[in-house]
Amino acid sequence: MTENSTGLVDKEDLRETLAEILDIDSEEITDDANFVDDLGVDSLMALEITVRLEKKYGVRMQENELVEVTSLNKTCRLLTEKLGGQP
Amino acid sequence: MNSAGWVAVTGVGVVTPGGDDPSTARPGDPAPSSWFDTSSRLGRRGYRYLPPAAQYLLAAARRAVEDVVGLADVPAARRAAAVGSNNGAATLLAGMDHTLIEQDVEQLSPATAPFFAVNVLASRLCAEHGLKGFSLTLTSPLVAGLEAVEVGGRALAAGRADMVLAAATEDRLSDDAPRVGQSEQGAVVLVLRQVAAGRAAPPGTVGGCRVRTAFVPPGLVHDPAGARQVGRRITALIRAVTGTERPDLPVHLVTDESAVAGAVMTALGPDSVSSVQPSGAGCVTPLLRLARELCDPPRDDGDGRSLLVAADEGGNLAAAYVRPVRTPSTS
Amino acid sequence: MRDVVITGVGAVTCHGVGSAALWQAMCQAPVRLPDRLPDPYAPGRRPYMYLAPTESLPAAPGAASRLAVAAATEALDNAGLPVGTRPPAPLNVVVGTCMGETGREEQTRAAGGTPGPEPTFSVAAHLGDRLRATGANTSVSNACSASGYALGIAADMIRVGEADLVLAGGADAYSRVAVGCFDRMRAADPVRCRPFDRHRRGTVFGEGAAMLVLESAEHAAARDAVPLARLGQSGWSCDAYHPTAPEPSAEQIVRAMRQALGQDTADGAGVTGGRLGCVIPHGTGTQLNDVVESQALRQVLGAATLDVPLYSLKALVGHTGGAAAALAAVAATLILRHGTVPPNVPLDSQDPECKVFLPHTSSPLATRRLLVNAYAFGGNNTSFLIESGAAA
Repeated sequence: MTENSTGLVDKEDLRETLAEILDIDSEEITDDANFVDDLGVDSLMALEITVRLEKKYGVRMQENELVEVTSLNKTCRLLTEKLGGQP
Repeated sequence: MNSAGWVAVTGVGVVTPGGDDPSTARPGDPAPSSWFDTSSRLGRRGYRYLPPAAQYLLAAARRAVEDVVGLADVPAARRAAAVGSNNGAATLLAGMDHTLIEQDVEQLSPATAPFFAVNVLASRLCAEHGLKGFSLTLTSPLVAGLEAVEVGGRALAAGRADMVLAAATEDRLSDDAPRVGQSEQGAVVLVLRQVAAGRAAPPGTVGGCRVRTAFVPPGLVHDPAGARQVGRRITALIRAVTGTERPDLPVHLVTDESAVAGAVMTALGPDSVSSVQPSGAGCVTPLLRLARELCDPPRDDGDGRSLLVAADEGGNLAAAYVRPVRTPSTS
Repeated sequence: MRDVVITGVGAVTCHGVGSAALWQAMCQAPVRLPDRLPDPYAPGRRPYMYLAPTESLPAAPGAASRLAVAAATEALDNAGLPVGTRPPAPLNVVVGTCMGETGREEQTRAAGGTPGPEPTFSVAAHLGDRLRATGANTSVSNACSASGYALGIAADMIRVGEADLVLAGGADAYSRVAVGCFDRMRAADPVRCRPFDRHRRGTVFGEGAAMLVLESAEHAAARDAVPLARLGQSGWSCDAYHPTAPEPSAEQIVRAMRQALGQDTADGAGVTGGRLGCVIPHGTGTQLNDVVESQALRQVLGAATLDVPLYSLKALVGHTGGAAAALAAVAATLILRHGTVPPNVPLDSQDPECKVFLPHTSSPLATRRLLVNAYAFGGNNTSFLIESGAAA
């Protein structure tokens, strides 16, 4: 688990994690590349990403937050908020 | 003999732990899972989420269509798939069930969840080759691969498609499965085209075949009063594929040690059976044998024609009359 | 091309054993909530399913086989070919099933045992053995359209002259993994199966089986069997797009319907919307299927769309997986026999994006021709017509 006490998310680690999940080179996951439009992520893979990130970071994603999981930067921001917001 | 039920095979692709050459490929001898390297065989981009049986199917199909003539001329809506599998999703299902029993549904991977339905094994195959005509998944024990040729051929005759990829694909059973030692791994894909009566075979034809399936109720096999009916049914099957009840052909049997197998042996006449090959826990072996008879027939006698029969203890039977294309030196 | 007729039907659903029980439920159109699954490991937040009564089902090596045997027995009896009598022609058997006897394996595992060596997809073979059927025996597993393809394969066998008599249909019973996977993919409704409802959240599975006796018209006539209906051409297509999501333009769904309606022939005629009495849609309750299918129906039915009543069977019996299409065929046969389109099970509110006609009162069947749709994961689509027994 990479949840750390300051609640920050290591962006490069997240990039590598996403690359592993999507089975592509991490270079393709630029900061703002859109998962669906640029990286060919479909509905099931989007769900897979969510599930894997939930496990790795120990957070729960709500339905309305899933729309934020669309690029590396947005995902990083969302995870940081959720981790920073935990007691 | 009429051309009804006859199909031309214009491409063959085989992928097994024992190699990709139809004459030497072997789907048995449970191999370590590392025999098939996904990224080198298929590439990257999510292939590894496909269950192994779906990966084998893709790899075998790519080999089958590699040298096929005229594929691009067949519109997507006229291309189709018929895929046989008995245990292609078995290990995945067992694993998911263990997860549900020991943990909970949240631990299931969404990316592999669709494959609880065995027909989804063919989904990527259809997307990759634009097979919009239809996609059939057949699951009859042992004979599903040969059945894919039969049903695919019938669909060609009925005008549903102009080209069918007929296939069998299997994966290793889980370690605790009673039949794990008989696991099959790998896939066989044949490219089928219609044979029009009186016309020449399509260019690039490897050979032709006619496949029919049948059923002998095991209950009838065990009933002394049913023996004659069983015998008649088997000879009717042979007649349906070859045109005669006692064909002058090498007969290759793929079967088990069951009473059904015994009845088939009796009906064929043990002296007319050239070889008996043990069946595995799946439908690849019979279709692989068909591929071998097409691609690598013996040249020492006759013109390489043969009869292949598969029989399962549950009653499913299939017979395939195989005619490889003659090489120029023997035509 | 030889005419294919239906001479017997049989069914088992959550409403009971027998097609009479099914018709009675169709007429009543109750809002029957799904049953709590007795399985202690039943997955998800809402482990519910429309369960079939099992007390009166014949014994068999697995739950799906029990359902199949019950439906087959009724169908053969209905056709005047009761089990135990030798049929006039070899009986061929084609059975569609998504999960086969996976449920039996799951039960064994839950009890701490190891599943035996019997094949998972043994329903067709068991039926063949039970019925002493010596024709061909085929198990087709195109998930939620499996029995639609079973009917199509059976009809093709008869049309090309390979068979005169085929028992075709489908069966599916509870599977923990099937329910779990749908839940995981967020395709499970927490309330009930409510296709085309504005608030639908997915489907709810149901146990069921349906069997039909199919014959060539000549074979039926020769033994003085009165056809209940004719099985028209079935259209087959494949999205070749995504494992689970329907292709958004509905191109292949439309193509399958047009094939069934004969609209894809050279003269471009075939059956138009105005000549359909009813459509039994695939309609599962998932957000995507229902809206895409509605759009496809509008493309095919055109101006007549709101004149053709839909009968949403899954709202009554749940999503019976491999049995669904055959159950729809049985329902269509019953609608033809009675000349009435039953009322749809009430929805709370129809989705305005699903611009189709779902009547909530019964009406006379205006034209004796019904269209049935069945779709499956992998975009395996089929559509077929069920028409009155007399030749058109």
